[in-house]
Amino acid sequence: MTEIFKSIISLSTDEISILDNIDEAVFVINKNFKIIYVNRKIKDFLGVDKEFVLNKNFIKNIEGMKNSIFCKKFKIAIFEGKPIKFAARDKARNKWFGVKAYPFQKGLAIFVSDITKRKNIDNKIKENEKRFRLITEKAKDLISITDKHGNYVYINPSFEKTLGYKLDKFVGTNLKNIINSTDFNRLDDWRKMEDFQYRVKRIDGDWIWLESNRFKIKWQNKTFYVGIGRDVTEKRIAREELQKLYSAVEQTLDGIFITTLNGQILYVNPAFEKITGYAEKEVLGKNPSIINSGKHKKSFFTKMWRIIGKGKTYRGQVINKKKNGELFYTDHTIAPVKDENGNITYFVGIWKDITSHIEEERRKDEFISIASHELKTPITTVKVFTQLLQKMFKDSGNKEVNKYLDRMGYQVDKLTNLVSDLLDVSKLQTGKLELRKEKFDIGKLIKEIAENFEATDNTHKIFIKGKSLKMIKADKDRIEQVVINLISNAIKYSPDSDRVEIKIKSEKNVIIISVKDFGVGIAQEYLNKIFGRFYRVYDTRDKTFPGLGMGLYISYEIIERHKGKMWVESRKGEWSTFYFSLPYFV
Amino acid sequence: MTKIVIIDDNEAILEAVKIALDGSGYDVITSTKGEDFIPTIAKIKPSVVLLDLLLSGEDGREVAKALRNNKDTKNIPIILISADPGAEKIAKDGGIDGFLSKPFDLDRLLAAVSDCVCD
Repeated sequence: MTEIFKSIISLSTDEISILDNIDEAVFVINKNFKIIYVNRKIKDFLGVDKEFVLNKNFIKNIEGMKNSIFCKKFKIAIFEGKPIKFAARDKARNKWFGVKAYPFQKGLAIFVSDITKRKNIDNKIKENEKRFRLITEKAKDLISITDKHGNYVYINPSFEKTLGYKLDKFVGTNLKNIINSTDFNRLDDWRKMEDFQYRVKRIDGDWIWLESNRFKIKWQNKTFYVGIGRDVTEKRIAREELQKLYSAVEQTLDGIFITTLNGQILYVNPAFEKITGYAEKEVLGKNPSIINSGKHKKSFFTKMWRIIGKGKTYRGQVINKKKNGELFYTDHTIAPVKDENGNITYFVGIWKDITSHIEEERRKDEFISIASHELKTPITTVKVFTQLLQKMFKDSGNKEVNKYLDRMGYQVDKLTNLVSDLLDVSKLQTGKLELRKEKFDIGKLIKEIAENFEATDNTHKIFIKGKSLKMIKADKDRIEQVVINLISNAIKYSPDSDRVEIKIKSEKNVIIISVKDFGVGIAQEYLNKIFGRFYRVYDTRDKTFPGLGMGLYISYEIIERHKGKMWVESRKGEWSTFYFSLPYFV
Repeated sequence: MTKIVIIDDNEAILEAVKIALDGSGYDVITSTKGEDFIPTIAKIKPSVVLLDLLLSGEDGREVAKALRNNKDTKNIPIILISADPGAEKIAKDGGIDGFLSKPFDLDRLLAAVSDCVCD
């Protein structure tokens, strides 16, 4: 530049006027800072004509120059003979100037150019770069840049944090080294990823699932690939869990359906399809009543809806109909599904097909019924012959024969009772127990029963307190059966006692009968179990008592079917009191 | 002698009841068949028919109905016998004259029979 300038200043005035056409303002000053040349361009910069500035002092007369840092810079250039270059800002006019000054033997040539535009672009670039950095550094997404071979040139902090690598050590690593090879092989081209899910190895060897996009960028004539990924490990785990649940729902043998609040079917599982014979598409949008058998009253379903509508779970046995018209029995559970606010959003129904179980039960009950009938025939024969023999030998005076025949008769009666109980149980189970109700005085009945007991059993005295106020309407034979059962139990389970207490108490609309013995008692934990079918208290420490565990079950069921209640109170080793209540006839 | 017909598919019961009633002075005719035996019943005109509810291959109720529908037997009292005490209801509903639940007491059998015979 110095060389160029040397030639410039040796030009004639005319020749030098070409400097008026360049874009820069040109000042030439001598060592005393006197302006010895300016071109016309200075008007654009200073707003004054070239004649106005010529021969003036550069420091004193040019606005903003006096005492400025530029002033010092020019002095250094002149006195030390070094070219200088700097950018200066004109705050007042919001302009940037690029200043270059070249010293020569007489002084200094100064070139000033308007660089505001360039400066603004630079600032924008810087700002953009800052913004880009902020974005990449703050982003939760994993951002990386690789070269065209897949070697990393940049990873953002989220990438570092998620995978544990550090940028400075990681740069140059190829992405193949951290991407799971199976997943990598699923890719057609690693350079083009669109929402691709794959595993990436963390620094500690754990695998992280990423969902990524990768695209090409051109920068400084080079090709790079930017990857933007998101950690979807938890999502994958959640999805896998969901998948697990889903396959359980799909593979279970229990029928499952999901409905809207209005009962429209949204989903049925394959077991539902298989059991009912309806394909999913046939039932979607329909009501579950599509499998209604018509075997239940309307109130049955009203009750079901009321329970689940309250947000509670319904459980019960339902008779349903298949597409082919066949009936099937289910254990139904219908539960409301609630959102996080506790509002019901769906209903889920799960049912177990218990048809074969029900049929088996039915066969069993039928078997008991037939067996008890079949048993009664030979018993009848034995009984008739026993009684014939008893008659024949009554007056023979043969005491031994009479004693043995009495024993036989007694055992035949016991056998008869057992078989009758079996028949009763099977009737209760199949709902075939019919009640023949009549009006009678239960107090009188109890008295008669007690007298019969005392006539045949001389071990216990039966005390009766209270009497009934009104008649009851019930099956007299069945109530008699209950009272006999309670009294014989009381006697059986109090072998060391000699009394049984019966109380008859009246409450509003009901009569309560209690039978108390002072015998072995019942442990607390068995109290609510002893009314169960075939239930017997097994306690190795206790003396065992004979029986099939049917008596109390039958009594309980008989009382229940009369809209009464039966319950027990007891103290182990001291006493037991069995109560039952029956409504008075009104 | 008072004639009594007893119909039951079990031979042992027939034998036992026959012996018991024979001893009380009745003339007992037994049969394991129900409807097939009606012509015989019509002929011998017994004082009472003891009829088991559950016959093999036959329903005692149908036999009772057939007896009631036959002009020669329609007035003969019928005592229904069943192993099911609940069958007493059937007896009452079917216009049958007596009911005995198996196993029965000899005394009750005799009482039931004499009730019908006296009528």
